[in-house]
Amino acid sequence: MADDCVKVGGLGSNFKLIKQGAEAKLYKGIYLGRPTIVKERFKKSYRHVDLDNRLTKERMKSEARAILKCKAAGICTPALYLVDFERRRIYMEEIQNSVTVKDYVAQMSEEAVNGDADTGDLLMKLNPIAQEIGRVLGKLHANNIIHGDLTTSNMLLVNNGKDIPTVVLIDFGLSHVESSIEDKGVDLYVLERALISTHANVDQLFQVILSSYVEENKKQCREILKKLDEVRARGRKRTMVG
Amino acid sequence: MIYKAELDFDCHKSLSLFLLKDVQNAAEIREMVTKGTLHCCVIKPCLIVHPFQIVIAANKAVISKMQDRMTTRTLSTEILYNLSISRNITQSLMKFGIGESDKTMLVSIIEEAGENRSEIILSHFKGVLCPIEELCNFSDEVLIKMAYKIKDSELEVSSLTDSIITRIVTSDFTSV
Ligand SMILES: Nc1ncnc2c1ncn2[C@@H]1O[C@H](COP(=O)(O)OP(=O)(O)OP(=O)(O)O)[C@@H](O)[C@H]1O
Ligand SMILES: [Mg+2]
Repeated sequence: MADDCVKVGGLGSNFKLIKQGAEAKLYKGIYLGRPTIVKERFKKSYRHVDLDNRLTKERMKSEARAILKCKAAGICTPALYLVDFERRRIYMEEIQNSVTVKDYVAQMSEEAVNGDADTGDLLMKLNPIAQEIGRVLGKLHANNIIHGDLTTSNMLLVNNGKDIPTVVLIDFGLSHVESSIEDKGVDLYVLERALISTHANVDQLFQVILSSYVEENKKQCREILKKLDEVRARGRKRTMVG
Repeated sequence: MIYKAELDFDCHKSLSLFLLKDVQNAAEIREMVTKGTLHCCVIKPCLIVHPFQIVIAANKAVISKMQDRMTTRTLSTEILYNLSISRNITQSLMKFGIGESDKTMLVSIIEEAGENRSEIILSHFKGVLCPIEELCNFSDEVLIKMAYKIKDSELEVSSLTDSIITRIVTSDFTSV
């Protein structure tokens, strides 16, 4: 108990460290009376102070801007309570009763193994979620929002009482607003790689995601899929050379 | 009747909110606040959907003050300025502040821990105190959605309050 209780300036003792990533620490607690996640980007001592401050500020701005732009586009994101450049923190709504897509897929896979279900059953179960993810990503790109780090740990699932859970997107520090086909293709490629590397058993889900993505982003989808093929080829070349 | 919220831990301040109606002396109140003899922020309720909207704007204001980066001169004007997503100070104060003949108003008072100035401040208002829950009778959703540029499609994935507060805390570096 004692070591995960922290008293960081302004957070008070009700905040607990929940995750230490490569760029940020995440704390969970109550802020202004609401369940809150604080994402604090720490200083990198190997970077020059000015550069480090500027980079952090840019990341925080990108993150906050994309969260707002998503909302306006009808995509679920956490509400923001404070963006504090001086303390390097974004205070946001804690999405309660949520699970990352990564954990959910892992959990379902384990249950399938234990229950003797085959991959077909597992894929069938995950199918509606993959469709929903594709729909959300289609909307994202149709609105020219590039996420920049589309992995399954940056998508949360929330049970909303309906058949299909709500997909909430998070972690927009590398995002930007851009209409380019190239960036959208790369965004999808990152997700494909993430699926293959963390969920090899169900990597076919990417096709399901793509097919509903296409439905939601009809205007550009042909060019984007073509670009995705190009990016894949580049990726293969890189791995062969390197 | 009383709405009180603790603000950011580092600032050691709290916010109390009071809803007043049938106020007879709006012009006088406005003058006292502007002159700095009455320390509170008086807000038009028609543009407020939920007390939390003011909590977020006030919290941003006390943090700006602590960090010495307020855009306006006083905490009271800073809260009004923060409530607005426009960067034009005069327009923001006009939009969210009360007019000379307004009858209904939200009074927000920022206090240090242990301080209690509310009673003295409220004694200057010639009006009737009513439960904060009645705020919804005075807020105008159509006006609010216009002021914050919120379309109905957004409200399928977000509450009106969440959409507003997200705009308030990002308005320095975004435009919608
Ligand atoms: N608003 C939120 N509500 C609930 N959980 C959250 C929220 N934001 C983040 N998390 C949890 O914290 C984890 C890390 O958050 P985030 O991805 O923003 O930080 P990160 O440092 O970029 O992490 P990573 O390096 O793993 O990408 C998420 O995978 C999720 O489990
Ligand atoms: Mg992440």
